[in-house]
Amino acid sequence: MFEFISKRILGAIPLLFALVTLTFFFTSLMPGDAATAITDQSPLASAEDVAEIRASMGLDRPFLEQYVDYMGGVLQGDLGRSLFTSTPVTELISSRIVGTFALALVGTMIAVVIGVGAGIIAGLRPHGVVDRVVTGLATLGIAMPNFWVGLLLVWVFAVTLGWLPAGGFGQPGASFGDKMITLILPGIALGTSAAAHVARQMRGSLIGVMEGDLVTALDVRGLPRRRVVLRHALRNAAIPVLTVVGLLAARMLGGAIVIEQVFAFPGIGSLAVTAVNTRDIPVVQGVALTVGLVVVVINIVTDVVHVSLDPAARVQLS
Amino acid sequence: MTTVSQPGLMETTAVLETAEPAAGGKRSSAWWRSPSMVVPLLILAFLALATALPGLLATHDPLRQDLTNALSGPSWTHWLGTDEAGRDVWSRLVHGTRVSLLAGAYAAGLAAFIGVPLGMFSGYVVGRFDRIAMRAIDVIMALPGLFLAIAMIAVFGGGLVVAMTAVSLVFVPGFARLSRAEALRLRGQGFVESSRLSGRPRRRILAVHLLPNMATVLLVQFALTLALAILAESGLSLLGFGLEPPDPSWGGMLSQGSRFMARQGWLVVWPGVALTVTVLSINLLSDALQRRFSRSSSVIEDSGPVGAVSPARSVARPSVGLVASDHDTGVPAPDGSGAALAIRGLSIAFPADGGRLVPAVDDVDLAVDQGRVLGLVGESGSGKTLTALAGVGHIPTPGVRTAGQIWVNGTDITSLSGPQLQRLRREEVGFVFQSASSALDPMFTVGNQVDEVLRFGGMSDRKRRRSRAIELLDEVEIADAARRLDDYPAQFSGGMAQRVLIALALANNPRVLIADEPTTALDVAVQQGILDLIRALSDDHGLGVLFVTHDFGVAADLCDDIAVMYAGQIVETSASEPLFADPRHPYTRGLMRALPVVGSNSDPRGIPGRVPAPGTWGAGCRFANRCAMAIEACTAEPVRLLDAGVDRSSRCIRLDDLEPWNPSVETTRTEAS
Repeated sequence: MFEFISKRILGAIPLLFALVTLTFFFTSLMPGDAATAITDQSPLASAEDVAEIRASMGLDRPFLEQYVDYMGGVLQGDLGRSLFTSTPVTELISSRIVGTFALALVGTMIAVVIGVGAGIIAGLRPHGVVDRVVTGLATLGIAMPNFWVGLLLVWVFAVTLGWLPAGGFGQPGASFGDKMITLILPGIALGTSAAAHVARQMRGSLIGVMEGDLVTALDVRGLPRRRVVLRHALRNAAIPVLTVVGLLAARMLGGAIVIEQVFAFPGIGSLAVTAVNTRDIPVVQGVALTVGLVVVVINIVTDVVHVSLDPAARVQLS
Repeated sequence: MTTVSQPGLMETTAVLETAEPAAGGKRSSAWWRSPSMVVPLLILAFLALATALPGLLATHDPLRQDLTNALSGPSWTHWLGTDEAGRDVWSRLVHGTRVSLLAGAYAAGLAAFIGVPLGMFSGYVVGRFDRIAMRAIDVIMALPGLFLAIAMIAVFGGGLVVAMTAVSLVFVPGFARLSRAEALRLRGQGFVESSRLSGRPRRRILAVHLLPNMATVLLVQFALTLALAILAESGLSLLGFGLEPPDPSWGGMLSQGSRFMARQGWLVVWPGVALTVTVLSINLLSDALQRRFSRSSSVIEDSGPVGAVSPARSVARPSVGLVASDHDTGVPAPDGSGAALAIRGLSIAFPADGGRLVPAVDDVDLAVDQGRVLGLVGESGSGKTLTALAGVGHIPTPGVRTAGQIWVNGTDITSLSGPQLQRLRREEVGFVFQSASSALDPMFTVGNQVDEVLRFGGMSDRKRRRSRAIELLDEVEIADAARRLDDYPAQFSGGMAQRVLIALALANNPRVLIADEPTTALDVAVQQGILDLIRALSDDHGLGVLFVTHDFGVAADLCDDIAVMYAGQIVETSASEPLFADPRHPYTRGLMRALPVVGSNSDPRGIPGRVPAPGTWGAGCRFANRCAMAIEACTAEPVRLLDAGVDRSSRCIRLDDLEPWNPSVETTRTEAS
């Protein structure tokens, strides 16, 4: 197991390396550079100003040198500074990422609880009334854009009923409870389509197991029906669902960009949008790297959980 | 040799497959006419019209402002109300369709245009190109799509075309992976290989052989991508990276509407409805496409949307309750108490079109005595697995027992309640499946599973259960039993797993063991060990064994008695020795000729033709169309089992005309008619 984890981590290193390289070269394709991005904001800047800024940022040096420099910085945990506020990018990101994590966590929890529950109820009685309702809702849930769900929730629960805050992540220094309350609506918006995906997967997977050879064999072995379903069928059906949950959790980081916009939520997604609009290159690079790293970590965690829960996968490893 | 069936409960699924096409075939030709498809198709037609001729559907000018009438709700003149500048919302929605659909189609099309050739080439040539391409895709996929898109927008600037180009790159990996997998699958197939060997240029092979064969899969992928791209377009518009106002687009309308939500909430409702309905229609259609083209691969559909219920499923099925019986009273009540396992007049049927029941097992009688092994022999599709499963009271869904009774140790199991039946299965009868690996739960150790059966069998002391488990594994000759209890099924080889399954079947000292092709999936050397084990168990414990096999060689080796099954019926019964000395049914003779004979130069010959599928059985002898001795009278009326010597019977009216047995003379037709 330890060997497996370390192997997976080692295997991810080239990927992360490629990601850093790609991000750097990619942003260097941009028309203009950081210096012009700054001077674009102040109409009075002259050509000398641009040159001066360029020199101060080391942008007049050869391209490869800059790359090596950047890579060296990344390895030491230095992602540069924002062009406009001079705040270190790592500081910006760490102040924002907690909110996004909290949001994605709430979304994932909603997806798992509702999706798994609904999927089991539907899958145990395929083609019954409950199943039709669940499959219908799941099909609808997958088709609804999460930002629209968010807007509807804001309209109904914040604007019209006034029950919950329309956005933000609590005032500075807000209590933990206040912060949690602000997570409810965006969490639901983020979790709805994921719950629909999980429900479909859980249902399909459970039906597959229930109609499969294993359940026939356990039934013929004389085990009580309840035990066959609760202990054996559910456990076997849960394994593929686990992989889907891992994928969805990673995908929520992307979904969070728009959701944060809708809810004026200070997360890493809104940081990225602002940075793109002002062409604050170091911040864009930093966010891309961070998100890539988080996705890689989620994938590794999913694999590890999968292997630790599925004996057959464990046997295949050794 | 007769055909070797694949592992698993293949025989039962084969029956289901043959029973169902009549029901599925008709429907599938008109899949698009089903009500659940008409609505999405109509919606898409409407959207196409809105894209081509928006003026036809909306008479208001989408850009005409009317500030005196801003932010009004739905009304007679403005069906969906007006926005903050007094512009007609319906009209803006209709005109926005073009942006959404064309932007989506552009992104999905571009992604396919780049991804498909890349993936196909990568999967076809394999090697280094493939490795590099797949690595690159891994890197791209490490970033969530929307992040990637806005990062690209940061580089190349905003605007709809740039935004949708960025979105298309996000979808390239999906197309590339899919076409790579398809290319890998197809390149090994005969027609591609022969084309390659004949020196055709690679580009032609890819275009002529590969592309058309993956077209449907790609079509489904395109539809799904289209839906996602439409969503991405509006998401980016909402972020301000899409079309510039005042031109209408759904995402832009949502974005604008959200600012005036407090005064006119409907503004955020309508564009979302348009998006959802569009995406929903596309998804439903691609689901239907997918189901239609993958129909052949499985009988059981799992994740389809509602509305696709086969008639079979609507029949309620009690687990062993009797559904309908034509000759229940006609059979003299036989006494099943003498035998370990007795089956009388068993008929099993499967529902087909219009609630009609198609028989698959027809009036089967069997009896297995203590300490004896009865071989139930026949080709795949003869109904032997169904008969064997019925021996433990299991009828595979959606089948029903239409007649007959089954006794285990004198208990009529057809009259038992659910829990009583489970108890009997635990304690009185063991069942061994063909594929041990799919009959053991991969999630639990072998010890855990043996322990479970013992515990429910009434052994409450944990330590005693443990020692009994070790004893059981010893008994089925698994070395190092104590240690192996803690292993998972995946750690056992096929033969060892089969032994575990036998141990599980024996756990609570049953009197009957039913084994369904337990050695078919195993190597010959391993086979012999299992056969010896079963023989020994029967001899030592007085176990009555029903042994199902298609292999006459195995049956000859192991069984005391033989029952030959064909097309749902028993066609010959006899003690083993006299049967092999002189088979009394042309079908049995055909099967025995199919055996390779040691020391003989003549090739074994199979019986031409196939077992007729349930539903296609004639009134008379079901073997007649493959039989060299068939005469008109054979097919005129049902043939009963006739007396064929001491304790022997045969379902053949020309029984007395059979030539003396000589393995080298044909009794089956050389050409199937």
